[in-house]
Amino acid sequence: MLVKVKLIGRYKDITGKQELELEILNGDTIWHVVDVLITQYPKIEKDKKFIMVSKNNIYTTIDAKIMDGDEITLSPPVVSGG
Amino acid sequence: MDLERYQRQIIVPEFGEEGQQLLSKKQVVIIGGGGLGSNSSEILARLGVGRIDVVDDDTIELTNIHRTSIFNEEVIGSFKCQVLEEKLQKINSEVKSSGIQKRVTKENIESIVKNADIILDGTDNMQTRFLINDVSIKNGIPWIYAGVYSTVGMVMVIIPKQTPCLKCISQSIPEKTGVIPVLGNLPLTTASIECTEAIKLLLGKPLSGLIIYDIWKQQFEQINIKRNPGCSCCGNEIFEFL
Repeated sequence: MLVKVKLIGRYKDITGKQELELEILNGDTIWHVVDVLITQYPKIEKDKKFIMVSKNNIYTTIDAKIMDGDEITLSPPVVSGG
Repeated sequence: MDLERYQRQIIVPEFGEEGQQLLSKKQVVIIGGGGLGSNSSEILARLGVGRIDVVDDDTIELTNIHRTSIFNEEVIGSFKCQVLEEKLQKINSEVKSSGIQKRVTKENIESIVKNADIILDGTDNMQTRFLINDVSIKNGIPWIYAGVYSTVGMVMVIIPKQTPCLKCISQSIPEKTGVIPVLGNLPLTTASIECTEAIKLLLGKPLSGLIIYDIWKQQFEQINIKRNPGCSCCGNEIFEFL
């Protein structure tokens, strides 16, 4: 199935896209989506552990499963300087 | 209250005299008096917030000066909270300002924020932010997360049980990685966004979601996302940092 992935912040710069579609299996996790993106865009890897992810506009964890029709958003990790 | 001071502000349709009067009755607690907190305290004093408490136990260092407009070389070595209390009084004598020379801990945070209408984030670490998040959700006090890194600032209003909390959006706490890069004018811009959201909240106006601003690329993004019902903090009321 195809999943739509919206990209926020520097992920738009890294990929050159605001959103993209990836071919995945029903029930794959967001981890899998991030891993696929990392193989295509290795600069994303340093954020892997802390990346903000949402599914259908609800914040979720990266181990959340993706079902047909879900939309995923990837945002950069929260920043901590002051 | 001397409305002449706010003449140009009260003619802003979104704000008005009613907004000015309301703001003068509000109490803000700012946790951290560095780049974000010092700039926020100055902005809020000029806007006319009734009471501003700044909590910080650090002294001003040369490395602080590049990212705040309120400190200068003469006050290096002084406690941030004391300098801020004095400077805020000079900026606006109608504002009650108080510098609280304490490090915020799980033991003292509830007493520090108990009368706050809102808590503003002026910290420089995620541990304290998660502590603020816990006390906010537990006691029903809104707070505003703000952070900076390099050229990127982030701001998010957190209203307990209404909007996503910090725990909702953070899978884990990034490790502290030494000195954090910050372009000098970024904290002032981020503090300005944070304070605008603060006064909108205090005046009961509609709020923005997570704001991500890249000052170098001049990119501004807003993300409106719903709460995570499975969140351990705002969903299940597990306050692991408190």
